[in-house]
Amino acid sequence: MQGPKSAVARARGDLARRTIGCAAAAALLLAPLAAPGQSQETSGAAFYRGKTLTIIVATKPGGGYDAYARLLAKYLPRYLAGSTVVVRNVPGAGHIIGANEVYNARPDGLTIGTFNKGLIVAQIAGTSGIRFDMTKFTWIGVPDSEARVWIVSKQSPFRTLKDVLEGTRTFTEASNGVGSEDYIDAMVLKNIFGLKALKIVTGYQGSDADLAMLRGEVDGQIGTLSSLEPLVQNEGARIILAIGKARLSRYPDVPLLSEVAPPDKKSLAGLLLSQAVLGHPFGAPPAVPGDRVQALRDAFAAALRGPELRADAARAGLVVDPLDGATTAQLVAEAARPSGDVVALIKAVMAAPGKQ
Amino acid sequence: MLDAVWHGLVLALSWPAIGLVFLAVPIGMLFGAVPGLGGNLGLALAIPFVFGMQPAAGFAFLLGMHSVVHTGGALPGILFGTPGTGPSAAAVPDGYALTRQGQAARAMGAALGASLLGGIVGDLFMAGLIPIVRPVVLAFGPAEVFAVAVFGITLIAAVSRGALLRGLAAGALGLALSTVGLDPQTGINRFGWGQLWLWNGVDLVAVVVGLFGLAEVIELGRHQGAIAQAGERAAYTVRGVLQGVADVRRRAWLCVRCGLIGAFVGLIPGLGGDAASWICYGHAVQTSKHPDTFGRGNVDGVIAPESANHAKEGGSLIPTVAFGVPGSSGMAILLGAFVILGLTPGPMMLVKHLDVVWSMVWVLGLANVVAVIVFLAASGFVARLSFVRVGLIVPFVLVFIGLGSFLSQSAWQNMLVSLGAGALGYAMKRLDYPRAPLIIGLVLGRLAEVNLSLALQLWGWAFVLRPLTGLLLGLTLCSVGVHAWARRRGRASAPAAPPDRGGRQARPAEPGPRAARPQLLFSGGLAAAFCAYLAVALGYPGPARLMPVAVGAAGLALSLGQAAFDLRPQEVRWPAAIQAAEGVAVPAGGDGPLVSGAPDRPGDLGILGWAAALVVLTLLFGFTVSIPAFLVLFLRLRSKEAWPFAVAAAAGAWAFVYLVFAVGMKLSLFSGFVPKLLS
Repeated sequence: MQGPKSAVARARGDLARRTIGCAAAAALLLAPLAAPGQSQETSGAAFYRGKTLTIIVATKPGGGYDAYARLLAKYLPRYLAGSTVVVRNVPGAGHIIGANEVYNARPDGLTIGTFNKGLIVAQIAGTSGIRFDMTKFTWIGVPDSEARVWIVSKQSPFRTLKDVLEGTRTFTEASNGVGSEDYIDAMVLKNIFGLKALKIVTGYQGSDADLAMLRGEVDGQIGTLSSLEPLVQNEGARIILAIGKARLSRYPDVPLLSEVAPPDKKSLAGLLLSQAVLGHPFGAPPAVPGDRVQALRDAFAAALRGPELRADAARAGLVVDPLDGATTAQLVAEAARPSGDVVALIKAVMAAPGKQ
Repeated sequence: MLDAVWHGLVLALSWPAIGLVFLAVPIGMLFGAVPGLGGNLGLALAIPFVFGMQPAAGFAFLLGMHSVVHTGGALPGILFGTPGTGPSAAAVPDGYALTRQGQAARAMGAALGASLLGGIVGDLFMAGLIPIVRPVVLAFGPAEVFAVAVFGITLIAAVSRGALLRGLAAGALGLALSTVGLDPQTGINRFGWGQLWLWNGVDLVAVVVGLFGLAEVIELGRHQGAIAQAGERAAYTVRGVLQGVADVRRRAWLCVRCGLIGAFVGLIPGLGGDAASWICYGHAVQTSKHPDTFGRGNVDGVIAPESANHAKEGGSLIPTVAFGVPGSSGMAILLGAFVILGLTPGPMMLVKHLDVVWSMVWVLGLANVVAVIVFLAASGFVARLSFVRVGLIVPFVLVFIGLGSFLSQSAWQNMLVSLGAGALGYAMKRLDYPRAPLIIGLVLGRLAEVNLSLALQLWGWAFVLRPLTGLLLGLTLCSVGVHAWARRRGRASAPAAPPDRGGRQARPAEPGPRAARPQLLFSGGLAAAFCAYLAVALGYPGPARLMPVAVGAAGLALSLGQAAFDLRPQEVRWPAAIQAAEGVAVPAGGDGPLVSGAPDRPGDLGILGWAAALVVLTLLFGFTVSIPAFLVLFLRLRSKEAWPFAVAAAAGAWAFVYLVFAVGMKLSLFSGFVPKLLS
């Protein structure tokens, strides 16, 4: 380390020449001034000293992406010594504006961002306005790899997945809008199980779908376990299917998509799974210098291991179950290069407005 | 129950909760008063501070902050015509007109009196409803929300009295603007032409600061003197404020009604708080004996929206608490705070933590009272600005507008939207087109369309036969019928609009229409715009087309009708407007210069040019350069201030913006295209 600190050290060194005791005292005094772990500070970590790291959030303030970004902004500086971390909201166009902004930022490692992994599907479908390639982001990691669940309301005559598959009457599914994550989930599930009588009602914003279930105007919806669990615990809703790596610990009887999907639909089930576990992904522009990527990934992982962050997250109801950067990159790559029939299905799903 | 009420009061009054309310209220009002910041950003920035607080203390802080945002937003709206938030824009047409007549103090007094009384009504509403909240909230599905939105839209006709055709055309324009963006059902990006920033629709804040704020500043720039036309005679006095408070007492029943409407609108998730103040404004006009005086300084036009703005927070807290389903976007952020503070919203909340729920009711009431004190203190200071000469006020308001239109979505394109809205608003003002209908259309159009689309998907057109939906739609029809009839009768028997009892002036606060040429140009242009809109809309598939085609056809018919009027000789133009202009024309006293006093400066649109220059400077070099450069140039070249003063004022303003936005709130301000290209 060069700079003011070494000047101080030299001055202290002069002092130390007089008495060894003073030198020891000086070392002890200086230790708290230096960053924790300075001894093994890598060149990547050293880069962040005195720099400002910006986390771009592709939504307005409030909501999951914003919450994770602000949580990390609070704790990342501890693991990127000497850095300042700020959050910038770049909302609009279903996360595309924010993702464009991250992708086209200067690749100096001082800009990272978080945006919807559903953009993988948008990219495959060729949505206009996209100026990024999901597979080429420098992925830093995912704080919350979490299962997604399909739930039905208390009033619904459908009680289990079997009821839905038998399809004796129309199942009404609430969704945000065409192209949103829950819409894609529903459309792909419809294809996987060959559901004829699944009607997707689009336009429920935010948690309006929860009320729609309480009023009984829809049968069910799909979302993350943590967001829908209150309906299960307070309002008698039932989970009929989980999209995750393993069975849910609190609901061990709920079948996993990978267990019940027909063999010829495994690739579609895989697409839903890799999307689900990507949670709220964090990425940087392509071609960030390798040592800085390593520093970012290390700090990200270390911050998410920290007990204080976990305590804050638990209090805020945020799941912490991280994926590292390499795994994230691998999952994105798998999901973004699907087989030809999956591509055809996605294009049909995304380009069939109003038709079901 | 009573035990919980009492315990809740103790919680709300305990330390540090009570102190936090006093801290939070001015912060919340600041976030409301600066256009583009808004309460949601305030909450998001405040949430890290409540980690580890006791629930009652945390809520005292967050609710105290959140509930006064729109009260703060009304302050710059009434004083400068530039509202801080969408909902607070509803107080602008009349509040600003009062300020221009030198009655800023009265408008302020009315605003804070109404906010207090309406807020208390909202709190009582919430308190009374806690036991029976569930069935009431669940009765309102998409079909019912659609019916309420339709009722709100019919109020456009009420707000347009005296200029019915022009008002309806402006309403259609607002509805047309509301259809820009992603269609709720098909996901088609309508009228966006690939522009990503238009996906979520036209930004409300960018439109209101342009349509009202910029338009008023352009108007100001044509005159010397101060915003307050009355000159030295009228000043900001406590007596003026008390007059406004007395107005509220006189109109207490209106205030209570609007408080109830506001709380009810807040209660229904999906109806959203933006609608509350506008519905109340429309209600006030509709039920007024002198509807023609609205928009020209009728104090009811301040009382009605202000009583709703605070009351709706009590309402929207109910579904948040009882279902864990937020009643507004701000409540969605608050919901996150519940969990942080260790509370799980939902039915159990009313059983396990009823005392905390009651403490929230008390905090809302308390924040309301504190807000009045802060408002009074701040307004006394800020209102003096309306007596400062225009050349000193205008450049700062322009900077305010530019920053606000950018910050609201962090999109530089919105500065262009504000510029366009400003030109449009100024034209509408000059040509006697009411502007409130445009905003009502913009706010309620999207709401109506989203819920119509949901209802149609769920039940088809048969949804109108659902009992509550049918009832609401039937009531709406009745209300339109009754008022149309009353209006027809009123026009036959009592043609001249008598001046408002409280208002000193009932004539149009803007030049009466004289030359038909600009009128015709505008209505013709409007018709052409609707034609183009309709042509594009017809290209969209089924569900995405429904609303735009209906709105486009109506707008085209209305603007063609208006154009036909404009073709005819001036005397047979719209009777009510003429009567208003002739019957009570140019009263004695010093409030005349708007029409005849100061001569029009050459270059009517000078300020629009300056505003455009500010936007161009910002786009090129970013706010850091454009704000000081613009202020120095404006103060020196246009206002003819001395160099040292111009430089000092610019430096002061720049330091304020930098410290508050960049350092304090860590917002990133637009940095311009030139630095981007150079790097």
